[in-house]
Amino acid sequence: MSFEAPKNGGALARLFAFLTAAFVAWSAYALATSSLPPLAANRGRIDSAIALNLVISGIVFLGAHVALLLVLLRRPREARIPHENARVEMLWTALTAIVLVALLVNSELDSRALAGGSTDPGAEPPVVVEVVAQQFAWNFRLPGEDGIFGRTDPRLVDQAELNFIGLDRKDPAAEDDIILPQGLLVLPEGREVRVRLRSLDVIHSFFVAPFRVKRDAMPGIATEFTFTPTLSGRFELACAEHCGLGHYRMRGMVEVVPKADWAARLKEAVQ
Amino acid sequence: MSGGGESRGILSRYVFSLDHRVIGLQYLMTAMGMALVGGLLALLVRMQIAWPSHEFRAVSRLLPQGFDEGIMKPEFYAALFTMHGTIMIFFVLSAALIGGFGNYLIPLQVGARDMAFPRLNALSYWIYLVSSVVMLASFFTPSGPAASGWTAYPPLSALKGAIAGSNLGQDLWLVAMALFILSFTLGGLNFLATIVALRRPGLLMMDLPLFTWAMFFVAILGLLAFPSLTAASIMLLLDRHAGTSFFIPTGLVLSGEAVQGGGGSPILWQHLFWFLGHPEVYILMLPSLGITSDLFGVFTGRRVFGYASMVYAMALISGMSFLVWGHHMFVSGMSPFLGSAFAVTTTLIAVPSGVKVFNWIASLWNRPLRLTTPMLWALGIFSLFVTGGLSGIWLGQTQIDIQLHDTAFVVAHFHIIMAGAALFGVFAGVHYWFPLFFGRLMNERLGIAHFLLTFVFYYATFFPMHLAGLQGQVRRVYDPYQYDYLKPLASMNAFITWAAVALAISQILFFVNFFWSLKKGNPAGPNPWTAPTLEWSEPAPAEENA
Repeated sequence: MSFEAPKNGGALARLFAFLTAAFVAWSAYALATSSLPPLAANRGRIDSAIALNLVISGIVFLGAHVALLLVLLRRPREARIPHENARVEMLWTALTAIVLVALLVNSELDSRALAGGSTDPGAEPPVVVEVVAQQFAWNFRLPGEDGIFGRTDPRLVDQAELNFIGLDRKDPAAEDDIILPQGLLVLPEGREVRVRLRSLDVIHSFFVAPFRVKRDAMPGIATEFTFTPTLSGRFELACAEHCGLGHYRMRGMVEVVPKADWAARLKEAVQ
Repeated sequence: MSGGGESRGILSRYVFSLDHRVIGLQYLMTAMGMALVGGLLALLVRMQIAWPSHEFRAVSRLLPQGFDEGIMKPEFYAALFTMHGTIMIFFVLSAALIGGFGNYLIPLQVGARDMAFPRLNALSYWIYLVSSVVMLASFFTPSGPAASGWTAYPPLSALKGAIAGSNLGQDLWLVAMALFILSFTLGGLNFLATIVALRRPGLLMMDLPLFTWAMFFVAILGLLAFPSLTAASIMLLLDRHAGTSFFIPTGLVLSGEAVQGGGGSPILWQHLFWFLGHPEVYILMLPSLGITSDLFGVFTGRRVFGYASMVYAMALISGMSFLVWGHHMFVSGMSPFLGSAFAVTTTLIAVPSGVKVFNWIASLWNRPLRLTTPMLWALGIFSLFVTGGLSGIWLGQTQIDIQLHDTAFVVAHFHIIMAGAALFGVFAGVHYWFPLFFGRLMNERLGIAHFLLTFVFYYATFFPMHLAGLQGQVRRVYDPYQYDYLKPLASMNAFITWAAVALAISQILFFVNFFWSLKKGNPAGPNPWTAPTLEWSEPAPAEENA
């Protein structure tokens, strides 16, 4: 080579090491002090899983970069160069696998716990809500006293008549359906909510960050998920799947009120 | 190809050449041009996220179709992120790493005179060039280029009224992708045939540089995975024009009007797309993994630690990459059992990836380093692979993905591990093989400055996106501050945009270095890096094949 390349411990190495150290310190601090939006539903297992991953990946992130710093800054010692070592390789492979399997088992346990509703026979029946997404609004309805959603038919959709979901008013089960104003969902605090999610047109996604809830509204199928709001308040609903030019303004509001106030607030909202 | 070397004109030597070296450089130069387009699109996206209600008078005069009195149109924003992703993934990174470096180096590294099928090789390049032109042409259609995301999910991409850009623009996107895939299929065939059948006698597979191994696996991945997207694209074209409903379910109502057809499934597209899409990101990752391992060997003077394990790790990563695609679909409403299965495969693919990281550390430990520019880029890839790989583990767990899917966290993840590592691989490869391509060395000072600035600004741009995602910033959103809970992220988003601008400006150093060094770089000897691999045993710049 026609020039002497910079070496470990030289000026360039120290500069690169400094920049790396600065980045690692800043990013570790930023992540360690970062937060999710305040939790407002019974899905805190997601928060714990994130915290667990933060610790584990933090250790690996720091460890790998400290190794890089040491490599850059220390003068190399010929006698201590690692040689091919199958045993050591098996050891770190096994360790990696064990940690990952532990995370997997935890993930599976969390998913099952989060998916299931309450199994307590004495608990109140869940609040069933149908959410129908469209370009660019959210439609909500409750089944009413009979607990049955009235029939809908895409051919009955009439935006001028404000029948956004195509409700068949001739169906007796539709009579007591409670149709909320577009974009506003009112729920009672502390009661399980079972959502049936549909879409009229393209793929949307129901995302309320404080509830730790996200599910795609997939045209052609109705998917279900369940959660229990644990805090009263107003929580913004975002669409989390690109759905057209109005994707950014598909904002909804989920209003959680104390149980005792729910019926009254519903009535007020529907008026 | 005509016989002797004396009287061949410019066209057959430099334009329609069958020489793998010319073809490789053609891919590289075209990719560099497409990178300028892709990078500009990214800056426009960032400009909008940082300042959504701002009137961009100057830019709107240059691009009047995208703006209304200085305010960017939402459909233009959708086209920007769609085309940025599409162009960068396929037309820049795949083209540069695989079309560019793969073509130039594979025959040299295996000791062959050229690729197995030189005519097919030239054809691959020209088809890629045509596909790039078609993709760029889509910008000039009346309703604009495709705007349904690089992922082109139907029904948004299938129904012409669903978004502007789902008209001719989407058709041209599909045609360009089909052509691109054809180009890469032909290339993949060439790579495999050359590596398997044209190795110099006595050269075993386990003697090959890890870059060659990477190309071997990339070729297999491409051949097996791309057909899925080809089929899906044809089905989407049929849905759009022939009245079929592969992806259009029954009973849709778009803007109050019933949609014709039905019986199809949008999730089917997602399965077909991601069956390619996931191996594709490993196609982008593997070349940089190979380059890093090889450069660690060259610039420490000893072979990479655990060469055989590195090969097996690449093989495992490649094989398992076919089994993880559903992790893009955890919240799509697919069966939770499938979700669990994909979580298993996705998390376990981190095992061979981890092996590579540990072997890299061992390859550097107590060894004397030559911190040349290519080596710096390789060390940068090491860092990006660790950082980006770790966030991938988060996303591979189904319960965590519920919160982070389709947020800026995902954007951070893939830009760090895929785009970043692939991009750094391009820079590493250009600096490293420049003397082979052109007989000169690139300027080291400029190279070092470019590396340090890019390293800093790359992380400054993408690392904060993890935080934005954790706080719930959704992707592909023209104006995040429609949501009150995202308003506090305004200053972070502005910071990210300024970092991106600084990152873009830093790339000027690379272009200056590249073009200046073509003429004025220090002449390099035949093996300026004292590397042990076969490509350096040719005289440089390489003579043409007779």
